[in-house]
Amino acid sequence: MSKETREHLSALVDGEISPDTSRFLVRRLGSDDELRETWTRYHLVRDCLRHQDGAIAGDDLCARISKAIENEKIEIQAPSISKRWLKPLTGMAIAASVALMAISTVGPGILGTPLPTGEVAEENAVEQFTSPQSLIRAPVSSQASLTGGRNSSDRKMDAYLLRHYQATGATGGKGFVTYVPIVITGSKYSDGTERDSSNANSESDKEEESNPR
Amino acid sequence: MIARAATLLLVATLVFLATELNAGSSDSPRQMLERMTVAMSQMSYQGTFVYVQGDIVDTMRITHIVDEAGVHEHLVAVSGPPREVIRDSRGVRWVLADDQSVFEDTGFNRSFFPQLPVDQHDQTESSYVMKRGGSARIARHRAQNLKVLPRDEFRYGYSLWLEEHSGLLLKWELIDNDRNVLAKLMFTDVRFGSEVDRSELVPSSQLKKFKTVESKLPAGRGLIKSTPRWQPASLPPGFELTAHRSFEDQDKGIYEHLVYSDGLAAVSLYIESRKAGSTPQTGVKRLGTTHAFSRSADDMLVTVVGDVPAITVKMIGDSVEIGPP
Repeated sequence: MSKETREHLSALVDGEISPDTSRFLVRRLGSDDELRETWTRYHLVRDCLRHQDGAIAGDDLCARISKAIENEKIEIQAPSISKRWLKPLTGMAIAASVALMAISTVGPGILGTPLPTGEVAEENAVEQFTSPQSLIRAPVSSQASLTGGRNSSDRKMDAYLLRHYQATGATGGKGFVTYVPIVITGSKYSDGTERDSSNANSESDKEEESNPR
Repeated sequence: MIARAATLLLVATLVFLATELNAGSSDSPRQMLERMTVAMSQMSYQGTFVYVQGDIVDTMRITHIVDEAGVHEHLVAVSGPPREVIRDSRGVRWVLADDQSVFEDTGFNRSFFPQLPVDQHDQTESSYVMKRGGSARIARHRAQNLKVLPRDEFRYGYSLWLEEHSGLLLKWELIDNDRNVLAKLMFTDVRFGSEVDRSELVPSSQLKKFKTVESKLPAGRGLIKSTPRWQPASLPPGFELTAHRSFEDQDKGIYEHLVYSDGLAAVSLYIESRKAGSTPQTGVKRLGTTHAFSRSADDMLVTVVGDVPAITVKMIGDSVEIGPP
């Protein structure tokens, strides 16, 4: 789908389009599945942006979109953060892209069409991005010293962690991915309680693979 | 004759082009992993990706440039407090926003530790099941799926989507032995080579007010050919000693760093003299998807760190018997 078509679609959702273009797009919506799906998603984004729970959007989805947008708002309101990082994605475009990302995580199932199954369906499918389950039962807990400086024990663990990543980062070939979790979670060590499998909310691979052991 | 030669040349060119276009389409899982390793370390790339782990949904930028000076890498969260990792020939700097500090480990040269190519590690196939999956479109690129699934509970597995020509990782999922997805990462846009904007290597201006804290770990001497003075009595299946560095000083005491790997997962075992009067935290901790286990043994501190389940770091840490050096 062209950028121009997406812009027209976005304008249509917002009711800011000329009558001629509107008629043209509406005709295409009747025959173009991709366009129709995108139109539905744009509506969903708009509804969530306006805090109107859409009829087809779950609360969890809107909450996640709102949370993502809230996070982006922090960046938008903080002028001291370098604009360099935001060159390709500015203003509400960020919020919209994050929101769209969150929607694509839910995939076509929520839009009323069945989820693809098997590898034939997987071919050419739009990638789904469902939320994985938590590693631990409790949310990432804060440890003492997180706000008032780190004690020597924390520093020692920081040092071991960074040295480990440097020494072994190339093992397995995943490169920068090694460092992503510590950037995301900062330096908040939590207890190492294993996850609660009853909270699983993404088990696509379970269906496809059986445990080879 | 000339027409026939021209036809042959044309056919040869078409075959060559077809081969190039299908580069990677018939690679074995091992070849796919090798191509990914090369692409992730040797290519220049830049992009935005979304990371999801439990309730955390975050958007980040990666800039990875390889030039004559080596690798320059900048990983930065695009929202919230400044969270960054900067890697270059000087080492690694990790921005700790909570602490308003930049934690540096610059005394370490990565080449001290040998890289372990997947194809040279016999244990990889006994530890993981590897198979090609389907294809998909990610960040406007065609991607081929590769599943690397653990055979036991001592390691995590991965579902990887690799750009079909270069092998660059476009989507990554961390999977446990029960096939639950623990964390995910997916690019929403990515650019390669000359399209990469070098200006994004510059750290955030906010860091100027942060204090710099140096890691005090010594680099140590490489000792892979000698037997370490202490080793774990029990190792999870498939893990072998792949690197060993040691440091000893009359004042600072002993520092040992041993790395065990199954070819994909790696675990660091640190054994270090405990400072008099210090009260180290013991037990299992987690940071992101990394587990760590610490315990005191006599006047030594044993710590195990790795992107592996808690059971693995605990097993290794508990089985180290600290006797006289």
